[in-house]
Amino acid sequence: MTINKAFKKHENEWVLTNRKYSKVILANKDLGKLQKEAKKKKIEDAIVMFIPPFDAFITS
Amino acid sequence: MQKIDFEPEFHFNQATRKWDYIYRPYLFVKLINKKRISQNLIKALVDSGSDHNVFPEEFAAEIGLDYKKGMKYKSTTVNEYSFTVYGNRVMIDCGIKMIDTVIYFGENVKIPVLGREGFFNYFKSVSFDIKGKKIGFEK
Repeated sequence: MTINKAFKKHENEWVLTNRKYSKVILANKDLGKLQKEAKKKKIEDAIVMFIPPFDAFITS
Repeated sequence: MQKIDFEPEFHFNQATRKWDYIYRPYLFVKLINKKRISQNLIKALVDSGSDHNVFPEEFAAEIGLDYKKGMKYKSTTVNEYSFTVYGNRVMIDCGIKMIDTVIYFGENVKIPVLGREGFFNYFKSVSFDIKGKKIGFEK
């Protein structure tokens, strides 16, 4: 699977995307604002995800 | 056993100084509270190192939960810091099964996490095939 390079502009942001990561539908640093925009535009069943820092790894 | 592919994410490799992908075990879930359901699919990390499910507070608000009415707990990560979370009963639709469980919601949580108690324990087994980049779920 190839991720659209547009995702590189959204490090540390919340994005709404399709299942194939081929486009960023919406992006915002604030998840609440992203949700409001998605509701206003009636976007359903897309993927909402946080883009973690590109140069870091995740620990729990 | 149902197998789910790991999801790719961009990663800047510090050793090679080049962009590549890192593959992580995620599931796409929706949360349900009574008749309210998440509008979009939430990408949540399947994390065997996490004791419980922990999600950003905004996902509680979306399904009409006043999450601070839940059970107050402290959560900590691998560093010295802890933060407050509130446990609330919700349904998780993870595409494999519906799970009636507890999610701990908190402020400034960025990566939704599905943990051992509240998610893994609803399956007979959960396995990680690191080389094959797949998670296996046995109901």
